[in-house]
Amino acid sequence: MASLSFASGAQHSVRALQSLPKLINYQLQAHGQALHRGVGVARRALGAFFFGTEEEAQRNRDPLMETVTQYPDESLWFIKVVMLFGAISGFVISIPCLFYLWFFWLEGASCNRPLRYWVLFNCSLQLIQVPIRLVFFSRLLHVGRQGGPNHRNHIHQCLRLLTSGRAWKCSKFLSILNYGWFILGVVWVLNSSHCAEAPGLWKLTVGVIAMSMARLLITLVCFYYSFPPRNLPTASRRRRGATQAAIDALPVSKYHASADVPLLRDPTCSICLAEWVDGDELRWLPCNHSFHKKCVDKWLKRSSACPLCLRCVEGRDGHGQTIAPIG
Amino acid sequence: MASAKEQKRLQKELQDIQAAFAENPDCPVTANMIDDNLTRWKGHIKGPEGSPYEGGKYVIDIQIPTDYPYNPPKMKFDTKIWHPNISSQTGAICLDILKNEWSPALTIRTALLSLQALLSSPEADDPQDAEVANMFKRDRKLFEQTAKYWTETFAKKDESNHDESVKKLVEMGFTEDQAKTALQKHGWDETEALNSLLGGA
Repeated sequence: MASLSFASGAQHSVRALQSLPKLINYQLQAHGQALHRGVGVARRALGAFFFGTEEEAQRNRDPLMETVTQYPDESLWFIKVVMLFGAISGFVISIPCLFYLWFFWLEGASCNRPLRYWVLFNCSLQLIQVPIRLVFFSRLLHVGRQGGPNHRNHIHQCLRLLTSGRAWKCSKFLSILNYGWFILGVVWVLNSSHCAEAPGLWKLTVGVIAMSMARLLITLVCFYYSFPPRNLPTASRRRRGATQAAIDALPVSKYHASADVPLLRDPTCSICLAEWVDGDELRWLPCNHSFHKKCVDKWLKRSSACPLCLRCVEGRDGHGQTIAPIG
Repeated sequence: MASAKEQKRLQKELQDIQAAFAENPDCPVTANMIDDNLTRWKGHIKGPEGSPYEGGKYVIDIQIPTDYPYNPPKMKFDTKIWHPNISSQTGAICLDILKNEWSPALTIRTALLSLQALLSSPEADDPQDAEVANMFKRDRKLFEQTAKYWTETFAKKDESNHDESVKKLVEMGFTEDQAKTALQKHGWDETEALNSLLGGA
């Protein structure tokens, strides 16, 4: 009986042993599926954090999107560079700072301003931003690689969803917070008079502030070079106002209805739209157009172009021809 | 707040526009102010004939900067429109005279007329909306279909509302002309139009 039961037990265990690999395989599969499902859920949660829904995108009024619709490629490049640069520099600056604080935390208490807390919070803000920025960067890198005839639309759509997501808003908020904290840091550093036991902390804070400023500057330079200046030659020529001397050199006359009628088809100033009355001071431009002196002087300081015919009042295309003032 | 001289100019512009409208109700553009200090206007443009915007009525939001007319008015489309130089998302407009090429001799009316001209002749090489500009360049037929569809969907729906608003006011005992003028003046806001009619009576 005993042997029988042993035999059957052995048989049973042999069967169990035979089916073990299958069991393990099954268990693994089940685990794998659970893991897979877990990753799926996490991915979806992350996706919801990083990307806004179509609805949110509709309501999204991020001013950046105007630039994106106008220059998708350039915006993509700019945001990519800023994200990567921000993540790397944030990491590179924060880690040594945290090490310093780790070793000299107690000594830092001797400063009359809480510089150690400033550095700690600043580094934390930077480090939180690192993963967010890296995800943005990798998304944009992916979109940039897609290519094809529709790639500008892909870029636009991706940035539209990205800028309406919570992560983007979060990152924006952190950046603003960081900026405020930066200003506080400047004030503290300027007012901390003695830091005898930790002279390094003062230097470190100044260093971190200097780096933040350098980063800001580099970002601005990047922005300047990312977007092509539009119609620069004409715009700058016209945008530049005339010098006071050049304006003063233009002839002025007093308006008299009877004397000027043949010359002026429409006796109104096209800047203030008011009709001229006797005694008004008129300024004559080289192109023979005239306006109230007060009205046109204000304009010429902004732009040297005649409001009516856009000819420049000074320089080569002004022809320098002036007519004698009348009256 | 603009100086007295600049206020006067704005008032004159408003008078001229409304006089032109009274003279010829078919004129392609008109505008009215929507607050008392003349800094916020609404412009109305008719979609030009022969364009996919034909039959549409477009509302333009106009903000007058404090140093107007030395700086251009800020304009954007309130009505959604499918056009390479106008953002399909925000209605922002890419038009040189509203930016670098502004001149103080231009007026709200001339700027609105330029906008109407822009509707007839899009500039796909200087786009505001990359998506629309791409479609305009690659598939003109699809572009025109989409633009027409947007005109039907967004730029024509107001018309029936307008008729209803006029009808409501007429039912209250005003003449159709009175109702139309008051509604026109107040950007088709029934309550405001009614208030002005009651106040003026």
